[in-house]
Amino acid sequence: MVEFTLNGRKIRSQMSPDTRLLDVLRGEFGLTGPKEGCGEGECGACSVLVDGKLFNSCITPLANVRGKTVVTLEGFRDSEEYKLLEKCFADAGAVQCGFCIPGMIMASEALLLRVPHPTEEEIREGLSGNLCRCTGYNMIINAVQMAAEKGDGLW
Amino acid sequence: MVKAHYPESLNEALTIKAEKKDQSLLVMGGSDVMVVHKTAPDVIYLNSIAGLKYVEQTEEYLRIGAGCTYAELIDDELVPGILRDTMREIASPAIRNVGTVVGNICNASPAGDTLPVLYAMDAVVVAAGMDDNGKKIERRIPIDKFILGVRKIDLRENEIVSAVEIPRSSYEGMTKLSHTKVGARKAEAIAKLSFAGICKVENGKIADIRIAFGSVGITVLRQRDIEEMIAGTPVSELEGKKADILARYAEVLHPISDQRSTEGYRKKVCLNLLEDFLNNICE
Ligand SMILES: Cc1cc2nc3c(=O)[nH]c(=O)nc-3n(C[C@H](O)[C@H](O)[C@H](O)COP(=O)(O)OP(=O)(O)OC[C@H]3O[C@@H](n4cnc5c(N)ncnc54)[C@H](O)[C@@H]3O)c2cc1C
Ligand code: FES
Ligand code: FES
Repeated sequence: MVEFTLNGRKIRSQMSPDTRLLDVLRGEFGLTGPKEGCGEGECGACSVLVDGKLFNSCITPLANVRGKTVVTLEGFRDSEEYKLLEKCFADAGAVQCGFCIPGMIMASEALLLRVPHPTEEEIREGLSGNLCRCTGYNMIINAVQMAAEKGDGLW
Repeated sequence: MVKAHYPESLNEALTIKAEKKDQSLLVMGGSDVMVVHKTAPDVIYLNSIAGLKYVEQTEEYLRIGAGCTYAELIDDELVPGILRDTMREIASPAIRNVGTVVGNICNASPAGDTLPVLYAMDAVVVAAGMDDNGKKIERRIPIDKFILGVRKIDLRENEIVSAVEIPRSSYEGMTKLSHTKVGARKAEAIAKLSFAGICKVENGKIADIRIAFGSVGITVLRQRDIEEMIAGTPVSELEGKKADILARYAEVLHPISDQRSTEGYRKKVCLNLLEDFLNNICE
């Protein structure tokens, strides 16, 4: 049994400690924000925040979040930051099939928490572990730039 | 279900390791272990040991605790710039938030990105163990003796690596420190090959030179005999010696061809990077 805080609630997972955090989130807690793309840490579709830092939940053993705070897209949805990111992604036309977007949003949030006014280079770097097969990235970069400008003071 | 252990101190971890021996698996960030689905009846999760997260300096050494992640080390000004630059090029932010230098060493992949720089700096691996009387013992092993082959390391079944030590003389006062990783992309790329060169020019002479190549063989290639031959050379004579130096390295570089690159490409680019490094010393 592993205890941690998930989206603001203290919870206990009954799964084996070596289970992938991704399977715990989706299978045991029904959170489908984190997606499985590659399952090997390469694509970022499964991104979550652990103590405010970006993690790939597909290569994080459940044991490694013991006592920590995990936030998935669902736990972040009601925040002002999320609403702004959502609007900017829509306005910039940054979403096509949408599969990578939850991960992109989590990576954007992790970046903006660290660097509230990133340069284009810093945005590309911050999202470098998140792959998108549809958009060609430029619109996603624009969306994050837009959010950083409009969200002055939010992060 | 595996039996998970969450030691809170190194001593506690060593006690468990001494009992479970090779029935147990050590996990730090898990970024290698999880990808290859490694497991064991007992898994010892080391990442809640706060005492392994430190960077400290003694007169002679910089010591990096086994719990330090890349992201933490990149932000730490005590860590030599060449090593921080190397870590900035590893994978992606999410991997750098969990991956550790000690994990990179213990994983002993020929493509481990921190290895050429660590070899060039004569890094020393600190392996801690517990003897039968419950007394802690430490072995200090030079990195080129610690890494024995692909995923083979000189770690005994009761031991845990507690730190890596870098002699300060291997980077302080050096005049040229250079590292290049050649990969298919900027992020998320396993190295086709990599190069690390460190050199100290003093009174117009090469006082110290270290050259290491990664991803070109089972382990990092460093040729102390050739380095010793170069040491002492006046910088003004290096240009004339260059062809001989390159020929000597050409003789010992025998990279393989695999899905990431070919033997010919690897060798050519290694020698180009070396030549570039030597040219930069001459300037
Ligand atoms: C998507 C992705 C991209 C990557 N990109 C790169 C890259 O660009 N360059 C690169 O070099 N690597 C890369 N890696 C590999 C990996 O991230 C690194 O090797 C990392 O440094 C491993 O550290 P860790 O703490 O996560 O190791 P873990 O997975 O926890 O452990 C790795 C190995 O070391 C052992 N070990 C760990 N800590 C100790 C200890 N204290 N004592 C004894 N044994 C120990 C474990 O038992 C295991 O065998 C990548 C991995 C992924 C998933
Ligand atoms: S599914 Fe986790 S990084 Fe791709
Ligand atoms: S929008 Fe389809 S993968 Fe990014």
